[in-house]
Amino acid sequence: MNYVFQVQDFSLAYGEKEILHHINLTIAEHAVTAFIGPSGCGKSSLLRAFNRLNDLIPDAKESGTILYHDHPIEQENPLELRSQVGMLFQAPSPFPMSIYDNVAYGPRCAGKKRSKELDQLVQESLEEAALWDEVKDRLKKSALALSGGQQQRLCLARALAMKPEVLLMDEPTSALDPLATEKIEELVLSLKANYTIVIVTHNMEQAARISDYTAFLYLGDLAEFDTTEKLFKEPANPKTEAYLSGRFG
Amino acid sequence: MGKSNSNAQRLFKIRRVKDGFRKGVTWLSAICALALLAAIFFNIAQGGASLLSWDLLTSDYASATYTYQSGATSAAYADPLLTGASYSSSWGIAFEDETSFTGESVVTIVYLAPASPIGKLDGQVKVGSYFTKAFLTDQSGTTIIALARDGASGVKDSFEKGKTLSSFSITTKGGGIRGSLLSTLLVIGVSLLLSLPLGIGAAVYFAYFAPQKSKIVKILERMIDVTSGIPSIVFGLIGVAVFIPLARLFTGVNTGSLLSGCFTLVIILLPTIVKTSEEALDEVPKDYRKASLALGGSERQTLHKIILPTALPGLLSAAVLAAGRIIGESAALVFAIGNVIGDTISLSGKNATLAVEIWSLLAGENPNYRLASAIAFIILIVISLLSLSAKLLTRVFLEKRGHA
Repeated sequence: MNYVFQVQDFSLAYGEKEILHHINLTIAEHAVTAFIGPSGCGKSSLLRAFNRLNDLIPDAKESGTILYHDHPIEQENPLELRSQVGMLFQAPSPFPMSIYDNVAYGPRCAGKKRSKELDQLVQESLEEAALWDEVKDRLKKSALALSGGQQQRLCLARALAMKPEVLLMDEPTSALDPLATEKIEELVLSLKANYTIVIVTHNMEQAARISDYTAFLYLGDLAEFDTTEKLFKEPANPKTEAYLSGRFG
Repeated sequence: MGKSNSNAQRLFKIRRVKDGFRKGVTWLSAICALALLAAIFFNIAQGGASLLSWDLLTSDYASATYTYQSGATSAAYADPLLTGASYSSSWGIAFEDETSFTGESVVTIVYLAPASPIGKLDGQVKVGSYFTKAFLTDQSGTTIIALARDGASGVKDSFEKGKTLSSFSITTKGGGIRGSLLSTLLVIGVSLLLSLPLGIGAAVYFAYFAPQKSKIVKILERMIDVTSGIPSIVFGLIGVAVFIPLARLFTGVNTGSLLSGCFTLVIILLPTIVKTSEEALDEVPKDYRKASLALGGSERQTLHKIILPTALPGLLSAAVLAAGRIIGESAALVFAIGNVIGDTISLSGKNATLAVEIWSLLAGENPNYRLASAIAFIILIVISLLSLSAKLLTRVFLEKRGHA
């Protein structure tokens, strides 16, 4: 088994407050890994560590390491790392520009200028995000006119346009209706063939439906990490069992 | 049951009365405010409307008198049949009584026949110039003097009597505001050019890069707040003490100049520009920055491609606000530039801006309310045009980005 990320004894603090304590886990290639747990358990903070988005928080302090293909990520150039590790946020956040410009944003930042190349990249990305047919006639129109579900798929296409290796998803469906959610879940399952996906979710059924591995975080500790099948059927930690059966959360 | 029901009805009635009262107060204050604004606007428009003309905008403030020697003799020219004008058919020239921009009664040349010898004296002798005086001789060789104070018909009579014209004087139309208007626009342009990059840069720093918990940053922000409340006359003082010497390095002029005025305005404008730009930047969703960085964009790319364009409407309104402040500023500029109304348009010149010209016109011994009102009206128009163009620019920009 190939691991894209190896988290080794990783701790994270915001100022005086430690959010994550000595986490150890691995992210397997071409698989979906889900992080679940009650609010405030640190699952989103752990996700943001993978593309070093925690750098934006002025008083965040990290210890331990995360290896990206055996290289510590703190030694990587964050701009290069982020072009390898795409991210999808909780609230769809298309930029206030045209659909085309949204998808082309990342490649343009990376220096791709030739319009032919960009045209093709935009089309491929939108097709991969199952949005092409809905927007192909209005690529030059504002992205803000799209529905919530379409906006989230546009954000996915925008991330895919960078040809990343990994996709991080931070509760990508919590702002969407059930139909739009289903569409995103289908996409996750189909994208798994080419991408490594890490998803944070509040929705345990969602984790059970789409993930191969699940990590259950509780109060900043990794309470349990296993294949989704095993974790849901025979949880080893009584806390996991209590959470899964809805006794707290 | 019945008792509580009637009680509820009573309460309902009281509430209705109270609501009606509140509504009345709201309406009344809204109407008062609107009426006040309308009254101000009407007053200005009425006072200055009679002067408003393209001529006022394009002619010089200073007037000059030109005298030409001539030996022309009278002839007969066709009457253009102008109503209200006094026409001398033997010279082909018509006069009319008028009041000049500066409030004096004058005799204006309103018509010159194409073949008239007077029209051929010089380019300055044209329709619209003020007649000053002329020396003519009649058949018997007696000298006739035509003077502007005789009025249009008196001047015409003198011309009808004359056979030979020996000299002819005119005064160019003065009191125009071309100089002040263009100086104001120049000051707006240069001040904005200097203050907008500084102000927006500072706002970007405060909104995105300043360490949020730093004491120094907090003190700086508080100082900016305080500066925006300082009366502008104090800045006029700074203008004299600091910016006139500073501007001298560029202009070589010892007194106030448009450049020293611009420097002073930059200081006056900076706090407002920093604050309004910061507000505009704060309105850009924080998610945009996160999303852009997560796509591998650098901070600089995020700023230039996402944040500044998204904040553009707000930044433009900051610019319009600043421009409005420049047009309206008089106290500081009386010191930093000076109150000389003139026609030179140069950064090293000391031409009054429109607002200072109003001050100047009203401060003298014979306050000229008509011209002041006309200028006030023009200021209103310029401000409206500025805010309109900012709106248009925003719309064009949004359309370019795909927003309908």
